Amino acid sequence: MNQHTVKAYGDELNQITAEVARMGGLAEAQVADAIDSVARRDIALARAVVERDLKLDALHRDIEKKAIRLIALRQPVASDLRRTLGAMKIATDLERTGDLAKNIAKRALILAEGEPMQPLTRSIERMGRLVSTRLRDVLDAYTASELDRAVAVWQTDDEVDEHYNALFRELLTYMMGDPRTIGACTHLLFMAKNLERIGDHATNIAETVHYEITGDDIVGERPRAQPTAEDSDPTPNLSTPHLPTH
Amino acid sequence: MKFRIFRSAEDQTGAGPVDPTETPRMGGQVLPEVTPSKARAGAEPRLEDATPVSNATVVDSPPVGPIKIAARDVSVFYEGKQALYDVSLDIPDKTVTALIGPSGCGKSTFLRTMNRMNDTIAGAKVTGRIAMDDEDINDRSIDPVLLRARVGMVFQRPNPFPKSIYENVAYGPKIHGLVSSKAEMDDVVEKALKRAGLWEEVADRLQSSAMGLSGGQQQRLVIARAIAVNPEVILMDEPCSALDPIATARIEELIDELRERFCIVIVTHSMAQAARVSQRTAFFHMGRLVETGDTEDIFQNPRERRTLDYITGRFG
Repeated sequence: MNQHTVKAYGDELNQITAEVARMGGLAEAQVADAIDSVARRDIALARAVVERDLKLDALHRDIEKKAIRLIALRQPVASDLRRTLGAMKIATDLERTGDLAKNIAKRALILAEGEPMQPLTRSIERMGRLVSTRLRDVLDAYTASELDRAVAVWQTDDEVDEHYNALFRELLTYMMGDPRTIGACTHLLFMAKNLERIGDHATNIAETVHYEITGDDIVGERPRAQPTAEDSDPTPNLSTPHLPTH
Repeated sequence: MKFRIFRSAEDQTGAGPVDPTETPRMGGQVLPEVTPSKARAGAEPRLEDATPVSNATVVDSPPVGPIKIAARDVSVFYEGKQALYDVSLDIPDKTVTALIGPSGCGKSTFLRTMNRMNDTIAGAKVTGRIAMDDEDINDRSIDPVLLRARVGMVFQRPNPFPKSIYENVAYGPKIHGLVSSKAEMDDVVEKALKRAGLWEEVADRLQSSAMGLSGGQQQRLVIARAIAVNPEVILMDEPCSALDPIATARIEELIDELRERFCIVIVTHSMAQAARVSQRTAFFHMGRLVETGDTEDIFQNPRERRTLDYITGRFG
């Protein structure tokens, strides 16, 4: 696309987009580090994640301020307007993603005080990798304006839900088998829920990217796994998990 | 005596709306295609239909509702030089249609074809057909003077006659013999001034000179003068470009009220104004109609790249 006749206008738009991209990179790292801190029982890393969240909040505020200023001074229309509002919306999703990562890190600190729960933390790690990949893909789609890639993320939304449901059953099985694990398992359950929500934010971002590029909503229903457990925590579908047989 | 209301109006401003130099200057040039770029900086959201259409193709989503003016293959030549190329456009009744585009794109030229203002320019030639209510306005049986009473026009600079406020508004109805008594004329003048939103400001000084009014008041007076002869269509050529923001807002509010009774076509350089006052927008470029559609679509998601470039301020 051609340059804006007023060059400063184009520069400001690019600056906002670049800042969202930077914020995206940071949010991605926060999620990855939070998961690592759980998997490795790394207290220092978990603390670092909690602290770095402030930076995401600051970036979020800055992007909003810049976007509002641009709307006030430049009155963007059409694709420019979508780009400006898209930046604001994505920044909000990333800020929430950061909060969820911070929450995971805080729970990692608590878990580190107790007994290691190897197979369970490994499940969390697997789900975390999946969510991280989705986040990275959608942010790459954003920075490169790649519509297909954003749609691909949007279409595979159910993978995370499936993972979450599987983890939920696994945790339930553990808790029923050994009530002493209930405390730790509850933390793991919340972590899983947080990851599932981060996945939802990645989906939101995919929708925003689609709208920004095309001006239209993504049409069609999002594919969804059967018992999604969404909106009903902390008591999702309690369809009899396999009890451990002792 | 042949009364040429618009001609004399023009002469007074000294800045006639006729600018024969308004010819496409970049004739036939097709803008470069969007190059998909991996890097974000400078890369913009792409348009799905970003392929540059050939100049003969107009992206058009037709209006709903009855059509007041139907232009078909209208071309305009000034001394053999073509200023407008095969413009076909439906203009709906009781709607504000905005014509936008860079200088020299042909939007004013097109506006002037609708009340045969080009007749007054030596060496100007109009081809194609313009029908108002299915009647060809260029037909030999049409008296251009009567046509211009049906199709009123408001110019960039307010151009009241150097007469009283009352006489300014009464002039048209008198010339066209629309009233038979003083009382009736008083009534017509009052109604026109009221409709133009000027009555309350001038009711107690109808006999004072129109030249003593502010620019915004003068422009509303000119609109009152235009609607006093009961036109069907009002053409406006950048009616607010000489006004301050408050006077502009009042004219815009007036335009919005007038559209309940009239078919309004407005040429404006302010895209924000086009977005605010119109329901339909037609984008002209280099003498051709490029895209036309509902204003909200044009300003949210135009389908043609040149339109997008123009409304987002990317024409260098």
